[in-house]
Amino acid sequence: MLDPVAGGSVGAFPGSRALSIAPTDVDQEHNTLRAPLRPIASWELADHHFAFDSSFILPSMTEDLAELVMLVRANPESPLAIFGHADPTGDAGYNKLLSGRRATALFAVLTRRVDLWTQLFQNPMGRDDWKKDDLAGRLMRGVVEPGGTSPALTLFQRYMDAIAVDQDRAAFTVAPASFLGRGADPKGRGDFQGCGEFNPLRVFSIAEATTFRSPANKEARDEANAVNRRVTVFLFSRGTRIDLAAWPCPRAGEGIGRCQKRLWSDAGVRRANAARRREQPADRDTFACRFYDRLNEAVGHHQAIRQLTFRVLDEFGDLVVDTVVFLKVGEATLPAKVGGDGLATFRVPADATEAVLQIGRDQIDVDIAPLPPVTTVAGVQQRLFNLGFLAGAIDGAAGPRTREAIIAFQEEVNEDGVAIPVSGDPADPALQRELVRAHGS
Amino acid sequence: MADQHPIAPGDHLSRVAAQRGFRGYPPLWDDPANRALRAKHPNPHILAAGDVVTVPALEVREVDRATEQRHRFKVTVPELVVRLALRRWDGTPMESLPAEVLVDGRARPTMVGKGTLQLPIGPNDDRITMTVDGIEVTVRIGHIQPIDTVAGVRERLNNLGYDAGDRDDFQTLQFRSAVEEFQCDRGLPVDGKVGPATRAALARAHGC
Repeated sequence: MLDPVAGGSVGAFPGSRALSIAPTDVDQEHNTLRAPLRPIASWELADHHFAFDSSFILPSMTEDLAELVMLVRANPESPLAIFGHADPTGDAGYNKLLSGRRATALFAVLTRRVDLWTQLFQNPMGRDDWKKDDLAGRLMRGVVEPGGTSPALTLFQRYMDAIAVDQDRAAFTVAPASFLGRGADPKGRGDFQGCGEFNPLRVFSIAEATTFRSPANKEARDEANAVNRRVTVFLFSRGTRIDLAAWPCPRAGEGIGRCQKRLWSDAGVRRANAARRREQPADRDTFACRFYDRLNEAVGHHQAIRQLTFRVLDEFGDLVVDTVVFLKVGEATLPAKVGGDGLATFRVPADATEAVLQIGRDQIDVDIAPLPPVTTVAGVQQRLFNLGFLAGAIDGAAGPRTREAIIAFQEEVNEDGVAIPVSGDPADPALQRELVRAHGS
Repeated sequence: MADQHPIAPGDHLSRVAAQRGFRGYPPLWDDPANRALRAKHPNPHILAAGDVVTVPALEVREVDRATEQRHRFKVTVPELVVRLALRRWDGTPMESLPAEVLVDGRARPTMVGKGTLQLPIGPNDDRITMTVDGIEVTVRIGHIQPIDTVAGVRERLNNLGYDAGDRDDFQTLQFRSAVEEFQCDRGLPVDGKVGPATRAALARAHGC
C-alpha cells in the first residue's frame, strides 16, 4: 500500500459544533438542520496489487484485504463505498472507465459477484485485457468462453476465496447491503465508482511533465504516477443512508458527465502542471472533484497523521501476541493486528486527543499527548502507570506510592536478570534506563 | 425616554423586549426610530451583532381597583417557538426524532411532525441539546446572523450539512467548497462566490 493505513484513519466529529438558529412567531418560518455526510475512516489499495494497466487483482492483495475486513468488521454499521483512481495519462473518459473497472473488480471480490469479474474478463477495454495478463490469462485461457461457462465461474470463485481471507486465513465476504448504496442498484450506484484522473495524489511540475512527454521516459513517468493509481474505500458514519438519485457520482461504467458537474470552480488550475510538483496531503489542492475533496478532507487526510504504537502485555507482564486489538477514536473503531513482537500500531489524525484502547474485554482510556521525559518525576510516573505498576495520580510529586511502584518495578527487573539497585528513587539513572527499555519510549 | 440597545451575540428582539420589561417585541420593532433597522434586517429574531435597536419608553397604564382585595390582570404574551426541520443527508425527513429535547438542561415538551420538531420557548431560553440520528446536536437560539453577513452565510451552510467551518472568511478552502457544493446542489452557477442569488437560495433552503 502506498499509505500503509493499518486500519485506516479517522477524522474529527463535525456534529459537535453548536449550530445557530432563530426562534420565530411566524408560521412556516423554520431552521433546516441536515445531517452532514460523514466518512469516519478510509483504506487504500495501491497500484501494484493490480496487473499492469489492468483491473485484474493480484494475489498480493490478500494482506491488505485482511486489513479492510478487520476495519469493516470493527465498524459493522458503517456503510462503505469504493472509489477507483487512474493517473492522468491519456484520455479522461478512458481513465474514468479504467478506474471504474478496478473499483468494480474490488467490489466483486468483496461481495463474490463472480458475474462482474466475468463481465470484465469478457469485455476487455484497451490495455485492460485480462486475457493478455499472465496470471489471469493462464487462469482463464480456454476456460471462459463468451456466455460464461460454469467451470469459469468456479475458477473465479475459487480465486476470490483464495485471495479474500481474513487474518485467520478464513474466506470472508461483505454483504452488498453493507455498502452505501445498499447494493440496490445492479450497476453499483453509490457502492463503487471510478474517479478517473480527477483526483491525483501527485501533480507533476511543468519541468517533469515536459520530460515525461518524451516516449523514452514513459517508464519513469508511469513509475512516478503509480501513487495516483489506487482504489480507496471510505467508511461512513453509522447508519448513513443515501438516496441513489441524489448521489453525485456516476456509475463505474458511465462517462465523466456527472463528474464534471462536481468539479471545483478552479479545477483547471488544480489539474494544471505548476512550477513545482504538488502532492497530497501537503498541498491540499490536487483534487479536481470538489465532492471527493470534501470526503477526503472530512476523514482527516489533510492533517498530519500520527502513528501510535502500543506494546500489549497481559497481567503477568507477558506479551500478548497474534490477536487483534482496537482503538476507538471518535466514531471509528480502528483495528490493528498484534504481531509476534506484541506491537499494535494505529494511525490517527494529529488533532485526536483521546482514544479508548480495547484489548479483549478490557477498555483502557488513552490520552494522546506528549510523554513527559523520563528524567522528570511525571515521566517516571507515567511509564510506571502505563506498565501497570502505579495506580495513583501522575502528579509529578515523588510520594510514597510512587516510591513503592519504583521498588516493585526495580525488583521485577532484577528477577528478569538485569541487576539494578532497588532504590525507590525516581532520579536513579539505572531506573530511568530500564523504564525506557520496558516502555519502549 | 427612548434608549439605544446594541445587539450582542445571541440577542433577538423578543429577548431584548423581555429584558427591557416589554411583554413582546412589537412595541420596539414598530417604533418609527427602527425603520432603517427593519429595512436592513427584516426579521426581528435575526439581528446582527452591532445592530442598534431603539427601545421606546415603557407605556405606563394606571388601573383603579379597591384595596384589600385580590385582582387578576391578564397579559397576553406572544408565543415564541423554535421550529426545526430535521433532514438526513439525502434531504429526506429524519424518521427517528429525538426522544429527549433539553432546553438549557431541562426537558421540554415538544411537538413533532414528519421530520419537524416544534417547541415553545421563553425569550431567555438559549441552548437546546438533543440527539438526532445518533448525532448529538446543540443549537443556540437567536445566535444566527442575518443572511447579508458572512457569519449568516456560514451558519446556514453548517445547518444544511455543508460544513463551512468556524471561520468567517469566504476564502478558506472549507468555506469555499461548502458554497460551491451548495451552488451545485441547487443548480446555481458554481463560482464559489456569495452573490444575491446564492444568498436568497440559501435563506430559502434554510427556512429563514
